[in-house]
Amino acid sequence: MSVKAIEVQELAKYYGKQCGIENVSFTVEKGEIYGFIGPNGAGKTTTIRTLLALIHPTSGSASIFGKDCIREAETIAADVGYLPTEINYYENMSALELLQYTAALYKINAVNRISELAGKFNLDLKRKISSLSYGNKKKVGIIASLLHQPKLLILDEPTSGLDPLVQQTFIDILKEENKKGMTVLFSSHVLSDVQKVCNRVAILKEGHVIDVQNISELREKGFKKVELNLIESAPAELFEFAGMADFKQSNNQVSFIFHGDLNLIVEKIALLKLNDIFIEEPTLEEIFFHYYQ
Amino acid sequence: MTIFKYEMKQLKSTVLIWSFSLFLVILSILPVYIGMMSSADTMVLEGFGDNPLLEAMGVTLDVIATPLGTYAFLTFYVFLACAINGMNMGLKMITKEYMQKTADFIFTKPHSRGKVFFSKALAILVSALIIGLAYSLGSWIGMVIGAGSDYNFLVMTQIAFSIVFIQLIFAALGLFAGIIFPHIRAPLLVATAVAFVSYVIGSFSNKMGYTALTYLSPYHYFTSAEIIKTGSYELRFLVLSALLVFVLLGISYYIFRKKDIVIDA
Repeated sequence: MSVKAIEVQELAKYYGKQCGIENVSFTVEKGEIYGFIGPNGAGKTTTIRTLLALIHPTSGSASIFGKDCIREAETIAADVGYLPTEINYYENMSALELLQYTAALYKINAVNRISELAGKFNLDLKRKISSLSYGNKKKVGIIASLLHQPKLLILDEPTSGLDPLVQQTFIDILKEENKKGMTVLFSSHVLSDVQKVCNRVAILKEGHVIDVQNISELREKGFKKVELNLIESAPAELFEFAGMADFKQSNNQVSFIFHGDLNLIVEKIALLKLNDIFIEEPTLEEIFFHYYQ
Repeated sequence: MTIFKYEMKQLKSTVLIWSFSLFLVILSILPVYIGMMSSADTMVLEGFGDNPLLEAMGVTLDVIATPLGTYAFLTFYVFLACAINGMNMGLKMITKEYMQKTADFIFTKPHSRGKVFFSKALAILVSALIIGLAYSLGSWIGMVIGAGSDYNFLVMTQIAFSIVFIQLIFAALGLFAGIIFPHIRAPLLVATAVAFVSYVIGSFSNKMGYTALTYLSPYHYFTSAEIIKTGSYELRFLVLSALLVFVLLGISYYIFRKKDIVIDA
């Protein structure tokens, strides 16, 4: 059996009596781009911080490339790049000094890599960290996380603060590095970002992994967003069946998200007199929202 | 070594300012005081006798009239400053990573928490040594100008180097406090308060004769009167100092290894 990039088993973290995460289990295969989605407070960051040994789990286990995240944190760190949500660096350093310090901490010579990545992000390396905008600090963070060509890149809300062009550059780099073999754990609540890059996604809710799905499956599983413009209003009971979510009715307008056998919904719609009908794929945000009903 | 070098770079200006300041202060004041004390009449000396610091130091008037006694008297003031500096260095070493929110950066690199902790501790040790050397050099030149060869070099060096031990004890205390309370926003204020409280405890215990309380005040581990009298540090206090530093470092390291890194939003 091949070693997994990440293997988390029944991981739990309590802050006193407060539950951070509980029974979190998932595996990330080598070379995969794995999404981690959930609203604020779902436990994404807690899980990530446990993987990075920044916090210690109350119970359960987590390993990266077969090594225990807590006991072998130092060894693991050499193969892992991390981009936190909040970017905070030593303010008195220039971007270049920070990146050189990062390279020194990884014991690598990264002169070429720094200029290559800084060029792609159009980053002025001479500027002090304190004078950089949040977006530019994020660019420094991205470069610092990729500097040592990690085998695993852990990203916590990586696109916040980046303009769309830089986001695209970043996603292109991710895909490029992924082709070379880098595994990515991509945590975000911006689901369109996850949709763009991830193969699979774990959905977190209130500290628990509630589902793990392939992105394509998630979209192809029959989730439909239906909007009906009716000639005559329909009784709401007509739509009371399994698989319905986000049902809204206002005068002759009806909208809902449906998940299940499409024939069932077609039969129901056939009973109605319609002005217009829209059936489209819901966005991941909407599918995601459906999970939280 | 990378973290150690970085920390040294961070401490560079502090070390330079402290080294130059102490060097210049002792160099300029010592000859003046030695001249004043050696030529002072009984009334002036009795005036000094009212100084509560002498009692706190355990120094008598006949000792303070000597060049080494004068030097010891002045160094006791330096102790307080060095205690503040040591405690501040120790506290800041830890709290800055939390206050600047850089803890995530440093603790996700391939260096164990032990390496990070001891690199920081080593940077403090080297800084304290540099400050101690600068003070010793200033003291030596000041002593030569003020007293010529009429003093014991070894005793002077030991008194001078007491400031290194004082810094280290308070730095270890600072590291410990920093690990327990990593979100302290004003480390200098805390360092000053702790140094003063410890100083007051020491002075009070000496004046009241509560010798047990003396152990709470590291200033009194290096009483100049004893060094001048015996020509060396008091062994029990030297051992106690080392023990204190090692125990504080050991406990701090133990807690630090297991502590969750929680950055305030």
